[in-house]
Amino acid sequence: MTAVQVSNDIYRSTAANGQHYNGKTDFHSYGAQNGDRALPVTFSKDVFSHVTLFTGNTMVTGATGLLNASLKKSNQELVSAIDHTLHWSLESAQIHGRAITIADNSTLGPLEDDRSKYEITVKLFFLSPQGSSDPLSVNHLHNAIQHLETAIGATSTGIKIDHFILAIPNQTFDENGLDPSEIEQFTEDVQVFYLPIWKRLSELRQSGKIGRLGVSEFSKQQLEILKVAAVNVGAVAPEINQVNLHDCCVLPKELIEYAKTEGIELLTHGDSSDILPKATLASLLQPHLAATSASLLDPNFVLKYSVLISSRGLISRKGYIVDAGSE
Amino acid sequence: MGLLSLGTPMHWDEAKKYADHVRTHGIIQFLNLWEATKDSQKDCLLWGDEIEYMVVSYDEENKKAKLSLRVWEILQELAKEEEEAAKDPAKKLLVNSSWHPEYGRYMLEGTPGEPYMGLPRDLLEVERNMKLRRELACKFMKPNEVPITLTSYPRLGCAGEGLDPHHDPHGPAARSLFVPDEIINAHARFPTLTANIRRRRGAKVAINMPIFHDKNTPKPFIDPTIPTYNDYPEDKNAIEEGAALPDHIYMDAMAFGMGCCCLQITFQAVNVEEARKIYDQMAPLGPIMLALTAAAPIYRGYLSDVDCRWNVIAQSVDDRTEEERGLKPLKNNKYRIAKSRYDSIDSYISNDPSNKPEYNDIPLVFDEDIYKKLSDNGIDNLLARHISHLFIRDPLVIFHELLNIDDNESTDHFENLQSTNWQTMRFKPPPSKTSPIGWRVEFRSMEIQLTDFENAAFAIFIVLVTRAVLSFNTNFYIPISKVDENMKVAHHRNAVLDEKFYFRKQIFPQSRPGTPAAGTPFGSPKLSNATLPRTAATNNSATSGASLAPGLDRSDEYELMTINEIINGAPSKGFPGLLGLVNSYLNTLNIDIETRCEISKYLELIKKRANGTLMTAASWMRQFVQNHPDYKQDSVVSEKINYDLVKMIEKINKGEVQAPELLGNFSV
Repeated sequence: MTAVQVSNDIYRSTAANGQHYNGKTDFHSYGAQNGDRALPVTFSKDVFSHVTLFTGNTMVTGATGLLNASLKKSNQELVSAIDHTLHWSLESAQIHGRAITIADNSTLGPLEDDRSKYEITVKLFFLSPQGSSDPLSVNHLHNAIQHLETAIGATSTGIKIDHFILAIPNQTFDENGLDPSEIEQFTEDVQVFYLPIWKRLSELRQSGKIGRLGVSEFSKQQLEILKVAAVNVGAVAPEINQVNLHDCCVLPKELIEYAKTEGIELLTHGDSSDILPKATLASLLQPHLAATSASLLDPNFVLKYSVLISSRGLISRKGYIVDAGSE
Repeated sequence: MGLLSLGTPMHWDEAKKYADHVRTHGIIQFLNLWEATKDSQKDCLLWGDEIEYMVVSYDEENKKAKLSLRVWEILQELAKEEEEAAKDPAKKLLVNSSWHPEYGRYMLEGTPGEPYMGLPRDLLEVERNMKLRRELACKFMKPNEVPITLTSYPRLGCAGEGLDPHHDPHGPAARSLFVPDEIINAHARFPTLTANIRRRRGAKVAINMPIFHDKNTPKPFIDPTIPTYNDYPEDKNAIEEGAALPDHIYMDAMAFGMGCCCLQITFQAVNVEEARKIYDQMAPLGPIMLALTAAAPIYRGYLSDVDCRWNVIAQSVDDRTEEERGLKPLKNNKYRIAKSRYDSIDSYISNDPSNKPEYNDIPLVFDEDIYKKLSDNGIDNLLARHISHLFIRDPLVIFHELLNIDDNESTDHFENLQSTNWQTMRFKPPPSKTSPIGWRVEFRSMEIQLTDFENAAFAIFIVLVTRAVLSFNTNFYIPISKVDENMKVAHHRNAVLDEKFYFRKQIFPQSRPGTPAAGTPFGSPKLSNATLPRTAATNNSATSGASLAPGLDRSDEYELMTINEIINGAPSKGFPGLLGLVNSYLNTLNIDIETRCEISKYLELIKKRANGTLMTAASWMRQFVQNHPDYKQDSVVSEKINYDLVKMIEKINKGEVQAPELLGNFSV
C-alpha cells in the first residue's frame, strides 16, 4: 500500500457515506520504506459514541501464531489483533454519524470455497458492565451474528454456525463446586440475566442456524441449573462446555461423568475470563480516537470466530469482532 | 524401499547400456502420469508413518544379542495375516497394519493398515497402532526373538557370532571385510543393488565415522580389528589404499547404512501445489529433526563422535565414480556431482511467491536434455529442474523382463530413479494414473526412537507442523546451502544441545512493512498464489523486497539458533518456535479435553528433548555404555554391553524399566 492509495480509501469511504470528513489534516501517512509509522492515524476532531471493529485474519497477521501458544488463558491475541487493525485500517473506517466501523478489509470477505467444506465456530463474549441489572442483550446477539456474516460473506439465508459458545460475563470455572448460597444465586442469575438470550439461541439451534450450542467455564452444577431452566421454557440444554486446562489435565470426575451421560462435549479453550476489560479497550482506542473519550466506551461484546477445514486439519480463518458504545 | 518387482537383474556392465533407455522412458512415464494427475484434487489429509524394526535373537546362555536372519519367514506370516484381514472385516481391526521387507535380512518395516485422517482425535490412533504392529510382529517370532527400534545396530559387522544363523563375511556381492552377503535381503534386487553400487563406483563404498576418543582410546586410533583378505581386488582398499581413515570407524558395505532403521512420515496433499509447498517448508526442518531424534552413536562396536545415521547411509550407497566426486578430471562421466544419492535435497520446488530464486543457491546439476523434454511438455522450471536433477543418476537395478514396458501404464522406470534418490524429502506423484492416492510428500530425516511412545510423539509432531504450516501460511525458507550446513552440524555429538542451526527469523508471511507479520489476501491455505507462473513470482521478489539490501542479499532473514529456540521459541525475539506454532494451531481447534491432554504428552516430550530436560536416545546410549561395568573407557562396545543395552531397550519399551532421563515420567 502507498500513502496515495490510503488517501483514496479515505475519500472513497467518506464519499460513499455522504459524510464530510474533516480529520484528513491529522492523518499522518507512514513511510513504506522503513516500514514504520512515525505517528498513528488519529481522528482528532470526530467524537464517536459507538465503535465496531473487525480484526483481520489473525492466522496471517501473526497475532495467533505469536501470542496464542500457551494453554494458559490469555487475551493477548485479541489485544494484538485490535492494535494491528487500528494501526492499518483506520484510514478506511466507515463513519455513520457518531458511529465508526473499523475493519481490516485486506483479510475479510467471503469464504473462498463452498460453505460445506468449512466448520465455523463462534464464541460470543458478553461484556456487560459491572453491576448491570440488564439481561444479556438479544440485540447484541443479532448484531454480532450480522457482523459475522459481513466478515465471512453473507448469503441471503445467512451462515450456519456449526458451534456456538455463549460466554457469560466474568464466568470462571469453579472446580470445588458451588455451596448452597452460590447455587441459589446462580439459579437466579440464569432466570434474570441469561435465560432470554439462551431462549433465542435455542431457537436458532432448533431452526438449524446453529449446529451445536454450548457454554464456557461451567461447573457440573451450573450445567444442571441451566438445563433445568432451559427445559422449563422449552429451550435446549447446553451441548458443549469449554474448560481451560492450564498445563494439567485434571477435571472433576463428576463433571466428566455428567458430560458423558448428557452428551456434552468438553472442549478446551484458552480465552481469558475477562477478555476485554474496559480500560484495555480504552487504552487501545485512545491514541487513534483522540477527540473521543475512549474511557467512556463500554465494550458490549467480543465475537471470536474460526473457520476450519476439518477434513484437512486446517484453519482457514480466525478473527474477532469488537463492539463498544456509550449510548 | 521402492519397487520390488520380480525378475532377473542385470549386472552393472549390462545395466549401464540401458541407463539412457530407462531414463528416457522414465521421463515419458512421468509425463504421462503428470498429464493424468496434475489437476488431481483430494479433499482430506491422509498420512502415515513407517516404522523399521530390527529383529534380535538372544543367545541367553552366552549373553549375546544377535541379529536374526529369518525375518523373511516372519514376513510371510505377516503377509498371510494381511491377506486374511483383507477378506475378514472382523480380523481387519486386529491386523490393521501392512508389512514390507527392508534392505537388511534382519529388518521389518511396518505401516498402518489404513492411513490416518486429519482430525486431532485420529492422532491418538498412532501410538495404539504402533503398539499393535509390534505385538503382531512378536506373534510370529521365536521366544528368544524380539523386534527393537534401534537406528543403528551397535555391533553390526563385528567379528564373532553376531548373526543368527552365523555366516562368515566376505561374500561376492558386498565383498565386505565385515558383513556376509547373507545379511542382505535375499530378493534379487538387494544383492544386485549392493554389487552394482560397488561396480559403478569402481570400488567398495567407504564409510568413515570419527571415533569418540575416550580416556583409554589409543591416539591416533588405528582400528586393530580390520581383517585382511586376499580374494577380491577390493581387499586392498581398506588399509593398503587408505580407505580406512585413522581416528575413524571404517565400514565398507551398504548394509552399514541401509541396515539402519528410521522413522518416515508421508502426507497426502490436496494437490500438487500443496505437495510442493509442504516439500519446501519441511525441508529446512530435516536437519533440525535429525539432531532432535539423534539415536545412532555406535558403529561396528565403537562409540563414535556422531549421534546420527544419515551420513553413514549417504556414504554406504555412494555410487559416484572418482570423476564424479571430483577426484579425477571428467573423462568417462558427464557430471561432477556434489552429493551421494542419499543426501539432503538440492533444490526447493514450490512456485509459491515466497520461494525466492536466491534460496536455491547451490549449483544444481541436471540433465539438460531431460530438462528440455520436461519444459517442452509444459513442466515449469522448478519442477523440471528437480526431476532432471534426480535423473542425473544411473538406474542401478534393471530387470531383463521389465526393460520394455508400456509407458502409458507403468511407471517402473520413473520409480527406478525416483526411489533410488534417497533425500531428506521426497516428492511423490500418485502411484498410477488411476490410483485414488494423490500427490504426496515424505519426510525422511528422523531417526527411529526406542519406544512406540516416542515414535508416536515425533510422528504426531511432524504432522501437526504441516497443519500449522498450511494454516499460518508460514515461510521457513533459508538458502538451501544453509540447510546443507545444518545437516553437517546435526551429526555432531550432542548437537541437539551444543550446536546452533540456521533458521528463518520471520516465519509469518509479510506483506505489510513494519508489523511483526501481516496478511496475504485471505491467507488461504488453498495457496491461490502458488499457481502463479514463475515470472510473476520473480517479479514479486523484486518489488516486495523493499526491506532487503540491494542485490537481494538474504542473510538478514535468518540467524543461528539453538534447537531449543527453534522448537520452544525465543520470546525476546518474538519467535514462536515450532511448538508455539503447533500449540497456537491446536488452541484454535475444537478439541475435546481428553484428546488435548493426550496430545500434550507427546508435545511435552518434544519440548523436553529440545530444551535438554530429557536426553536423546543417542546421549542415553552413550551414557549407558560409559556407565557399564564392562566398559574400559576405550570406546569399545563389547558383546556383553551390547546384550545389556538391547535388553534394557526392550524392557524400557515394555514399560518394565523406567528411564526418566530419556522419557521423564511419561509411560510408554
